[in-house]
Amino acid sequence: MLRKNTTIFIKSLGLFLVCLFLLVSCQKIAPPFTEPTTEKSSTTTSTVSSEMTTSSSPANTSETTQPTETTRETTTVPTTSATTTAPTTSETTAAPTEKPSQAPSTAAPAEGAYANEPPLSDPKDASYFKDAVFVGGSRTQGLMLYGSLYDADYVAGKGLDVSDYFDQAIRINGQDITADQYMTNRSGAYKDIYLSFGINELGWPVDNFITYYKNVIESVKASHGAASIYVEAILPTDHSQDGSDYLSNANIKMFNARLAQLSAEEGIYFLNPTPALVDQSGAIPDGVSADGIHYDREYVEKWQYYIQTHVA
Amino acid sequence: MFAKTTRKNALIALVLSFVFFLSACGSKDATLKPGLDLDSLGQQLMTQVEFKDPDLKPLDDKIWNRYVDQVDSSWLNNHLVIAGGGMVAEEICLFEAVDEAKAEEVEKAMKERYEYLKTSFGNYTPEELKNLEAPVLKRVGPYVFSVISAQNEKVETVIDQWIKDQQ
Repeated sequence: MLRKNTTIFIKSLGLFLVCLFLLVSCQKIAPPFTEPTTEKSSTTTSTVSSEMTTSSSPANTSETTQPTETTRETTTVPTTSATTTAPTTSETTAAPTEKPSQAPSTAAPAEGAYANEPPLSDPKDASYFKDAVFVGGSRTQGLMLYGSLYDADYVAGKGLDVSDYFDQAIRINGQDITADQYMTNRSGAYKDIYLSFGINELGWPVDNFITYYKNVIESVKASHGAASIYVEAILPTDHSQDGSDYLSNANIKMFNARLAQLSAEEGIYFLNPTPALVDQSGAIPDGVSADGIHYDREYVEKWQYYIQTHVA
Repeated sequence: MFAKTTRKNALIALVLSFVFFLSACGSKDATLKPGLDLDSLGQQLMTQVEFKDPDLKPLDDKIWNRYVDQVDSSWLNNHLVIAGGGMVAEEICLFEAVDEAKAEEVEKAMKERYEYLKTSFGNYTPEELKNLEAPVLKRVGPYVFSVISAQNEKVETVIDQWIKDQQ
């Protein structure tokens, strides 16, 4: 009898120990009940989002020969002649095509050097820009993310150029739409329109760039005739780009001179933050840009401050 | 008589053990309660995970939805989006949805976002695609946590610990 009771006791104890073991183990194993849904995204190929579209030509060019627009990797330079040219410059790589004919110095034009540059004023509050829109590429995207002009709108996409403005859908406020269509849809909505193109077109023939930029300006004027339109100078790079034929400050300066001329001819404003951004060597200081082209937060704030202190 | 009592006691002990076991395991798997402090998770991720962009910062309420526009803000009770300047594929998106159904929508939207970012970076700075191969995406009850970085394992560890700490 005693043996039987002992046996029962031992079995019960054993069962208890098993339960205890399972309890301890349950802290380490995945539970069978509700558990976090953890998913790792796969690398399956998806259809290209509508941000990148291919099209045959920019809509508003008045040239007889239409460029062939392609994907980002092999972008054909829009041309005004019958011959096509080689791939254009992206914001991070240089693709040699046609070299600029001039070799200007790297010194930045002094503040106020342009008659159509708004004069220096006290900085406008961020709320001042609630009726403003900033249009451009990845640098404009950086202005949105690093800056503090939260009340403005932003029409920005990586690599966006003056040709893409018309025919490449980008993601704007949840919809995939071209910049031109967006601005047309919002006709008259903005009082201040800031255009910031050029860093992606530094490998283009400058005349082509100006022609396309003019098309952008004309389209903006058509939808926002009463707005103050600002063409922003192409922002400077740092010394890491000195050896580049396209991203060097020498080339940027040449393009900016043409932009200043274009803006004057179009009767709109020209913004030139360059003197406020460069050091004595005519480049942005080392260390403020990881890739020599896109500014860190502090330097975007400097750029923004220039915008806030130069309004029409 | 003694045997009967012993068997009875053993049975009670056994039942209590099971009850204890089940309740302990059950409490570990409980859904996170609403209203948790997402900022604390954001801070832990920022301090414990190595990010290349030194300028990552929480986005203002007026801006985050322009940046992560795949997520409808009406699906959310709370959010924290930490991003840089857009040139490096790194971001932290922490959401508390209004309910678990909306959390599923948020999770789906984030997967769409990954595809969008792959296209955006792929055509521009393809070296950033590595971080987009397998971002960490977790849905726990009404919460969705998404982190794009180069340290997925570390991110998982930090999030798992934070979840555990909220129990």
